[in-house]
Amino acid sequence: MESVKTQSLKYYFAVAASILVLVAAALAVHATMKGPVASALTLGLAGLQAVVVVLFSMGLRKEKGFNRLIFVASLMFLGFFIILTLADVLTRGDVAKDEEFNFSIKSPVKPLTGSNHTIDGHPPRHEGRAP
Amino acid sequence: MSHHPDPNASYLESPAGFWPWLKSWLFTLDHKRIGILYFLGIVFSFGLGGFFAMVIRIELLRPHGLMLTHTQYNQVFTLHGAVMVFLFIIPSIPATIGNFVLPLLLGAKDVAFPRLNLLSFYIYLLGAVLAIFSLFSGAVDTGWTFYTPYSTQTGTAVISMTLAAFVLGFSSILTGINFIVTIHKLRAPGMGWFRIPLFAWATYATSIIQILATPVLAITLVLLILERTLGLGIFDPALGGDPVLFQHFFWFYSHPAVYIMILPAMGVMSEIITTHAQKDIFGYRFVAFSSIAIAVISFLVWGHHMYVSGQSLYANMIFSVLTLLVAIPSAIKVFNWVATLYGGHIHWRVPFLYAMGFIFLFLIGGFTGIILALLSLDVHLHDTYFIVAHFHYVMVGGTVMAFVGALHHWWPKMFGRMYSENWARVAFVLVFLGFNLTFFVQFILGSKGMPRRYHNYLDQFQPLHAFSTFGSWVLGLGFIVMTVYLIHSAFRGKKAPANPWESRTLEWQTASPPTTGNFEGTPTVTGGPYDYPRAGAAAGRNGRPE
Amino acid sequence: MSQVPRKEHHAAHHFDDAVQERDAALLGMWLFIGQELLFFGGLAVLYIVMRLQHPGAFVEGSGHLSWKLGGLNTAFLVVSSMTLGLAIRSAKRDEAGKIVPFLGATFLLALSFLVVKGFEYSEKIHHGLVPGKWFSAIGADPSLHVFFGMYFATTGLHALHVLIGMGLLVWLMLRARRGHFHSGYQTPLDLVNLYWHTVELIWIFLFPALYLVS
Ligand SMILES: [Cu+2]
Repeated sequence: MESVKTQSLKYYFAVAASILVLVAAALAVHATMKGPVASALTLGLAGLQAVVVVLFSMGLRKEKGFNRLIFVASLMFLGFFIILTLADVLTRGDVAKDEEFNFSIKSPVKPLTGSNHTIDGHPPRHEGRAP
Repeated sequence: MSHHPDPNASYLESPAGFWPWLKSWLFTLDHKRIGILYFLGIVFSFGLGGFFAMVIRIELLRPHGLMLTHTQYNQVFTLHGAVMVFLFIIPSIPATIGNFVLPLLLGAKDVAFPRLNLLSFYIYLLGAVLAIFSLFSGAVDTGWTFYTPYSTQTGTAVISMTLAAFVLGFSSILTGINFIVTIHKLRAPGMGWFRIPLFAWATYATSIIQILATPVLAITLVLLILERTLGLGIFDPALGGDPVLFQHFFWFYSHPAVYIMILPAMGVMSEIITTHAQKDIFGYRFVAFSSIAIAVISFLVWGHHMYVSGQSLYANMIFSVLTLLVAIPSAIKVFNWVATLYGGHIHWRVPFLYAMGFIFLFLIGGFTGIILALLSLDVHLHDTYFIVAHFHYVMVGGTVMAFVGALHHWWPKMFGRMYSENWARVAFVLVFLGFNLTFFVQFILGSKGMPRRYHNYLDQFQPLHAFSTFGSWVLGLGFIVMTVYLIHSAFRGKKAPANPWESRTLEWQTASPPTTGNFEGTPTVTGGPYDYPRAGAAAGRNGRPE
Repeated sequence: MSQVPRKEHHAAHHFDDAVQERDAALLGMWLFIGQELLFFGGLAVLYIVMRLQHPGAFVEGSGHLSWKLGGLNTAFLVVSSMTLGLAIRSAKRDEAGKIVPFLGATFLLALSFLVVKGFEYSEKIHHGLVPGKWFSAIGADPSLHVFFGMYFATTGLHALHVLIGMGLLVWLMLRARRGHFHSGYQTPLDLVNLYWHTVELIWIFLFPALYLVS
């Protein structure tokens, strides 16, 4: 019977144990720290666990070049998704705030004031509306 | 259960009797037959979407409507969009032409996963059934974009239609996986990466988008369904959600989806132009890599659909610059096709006419795209008929022209029959003319301020709207003529020779229609895909199987 | 040798050989994992944006979750991944008698995961934390339901993947019993292994993202 090379039992135990140690570390962080630093640390530890899973359990360490490329490219496109969405979410409305100091393009236009939606006392026009 | 056809008989040959015949089609694992099954589904969808288009145009003959209520009008344009996008254009070239031609182009016996391929078809069918069910259960009226918060509130059938799009997405992902693996693993001996016909490169780039963008549509639609049924509070501002975020999600898929539509069309162009001009492609690597470049850039530009959505102006600026980048690889392709023609032996056959139609209309579609990518102009033109005209020039003028061109180019191979060249020319003139009559005026309408998706409009727009409607009848007539002579050809047409266009690519080096096993033996490749003899040079310097 | 009869595998007709067939299958699976990453990646984007917009709701909501149960579930998945790996190792070493027990252990660990998840869900339902019209909890943060919307959407979709994985494990056990897997052929085991690790991978991020917010 032909025999295929396999990893030792220790290899499997070590992979599982190292992930569980990292999980325990994340729980320790959660128990002792608060705030954004704690979140960053627990998520960072999750990232390390993921690296162990991807490289050693899924075998990406020894995979063919193109299969690695697929994985990296997927993460890259996900990165684009996150970054460009945040480019909107994190700066939404900032132009109105920065406008006066940086651009002043809107200065001749004054925002509407008052509670009713009229312009200079005229009611809004309704031409072209369906009968 | 499965019937084992003779690998050396025509793939169209079926066992005698109706039920064995039907079974041999419904359980087929042959990529060519699956391509034909898709073809039937896609033609049906095109007819359905086209019917809705005609209803829209007739309704717009008069400024205050003709026969529909406001809600019905909203339903009709939504169904036109949803059917045409999800059921027709996205699967059109990859699923029919791709399934049929790709393994032949590569010299393979089949796609990598034939069972998965058949499964993709049935998933497509399930999606189509859901979409049609949705039609009759309170047709959706949100526009094919399903924008929140309206889509979480309207009383029409949002869930069944989004479920249909979700299911169709699965079909698309599985087809993409199948094609990438096929191109990687099943090329004929000697076919290195730079000897692959360019249609395969284009299919490859398309598949990348199908695999990596479609799952985002899937999660978007799942979240939309959950938001509508459970009220998660993620897209609905009343619950603390962010409706602009829905647009990010939707367009992260749907902009790349535009390239799922156009990239295979570009691949078709390269095949038609080289064959009918009997000339090697100008700048093979540039054409090949521009497909990949378009696929990658297409993931970075989705925000250009959201300039006036309340998206941050800084994001607008970033997206505007990134969008303009797409023009570069697109232009590389157009320049290279035109350069390919130089010094070629051009045969003005019908597929070539469609290729020229594509270049002309895609140019207009592309240039107006640049206009719309610019923030300052888009703010004025957004949500007007200018946009409608722009994307119809890209999708119909681009993809549909290429799809019809591909259909004529590979028709003799698919069915082993020739079509009437003269009737096909008549149909081309009607389609090309009708298309321009319908949509060119819409650029004018849009720039004069006619908003899209409106049921009623100002009286002053009536002449242009009527003109567009008349154009749509010419366009419709063209497709009717085409349907008639193609059906006639499929049953009564003259028998086609193996290689009527004297093409060099592998699919023409086997019988028309091909045998079930595709090739006798495995073809070996010793040269590029387009090694046409140059004027004056000796013919036949590559060793292809005859 | 073992008592399980060995069944040889033959490559499908359109492949040159078994190696090409196996490479094609693995490539297809990696592509599928790519789409899984983008599918759950969409949820990651949603999570980031929602957490930025409702930070208080996430801190409060996370406090309602038990890190003990979540941690237990993490351990279940990590160990199940190990037993699945050991099943493949047994196949490669032609220890056919050990494949089904290892697959069975993987299945039971997956089931335990779902049982714990079920307990967590029923507790949330009991406390009126299911979003939408069932939401009756009154939190300190007005958008507490957004957190639980995220919680149920992400863990629900993940649990669905666990369920699919359990179905695949049953399929593998049936095939293993018929002697399909041995040193000459383990492709289906490898494919499910990749899928199962992807499910583990997603949970690895869900756990701190939902249970450990402070
Ligand atoms: Cu776009």
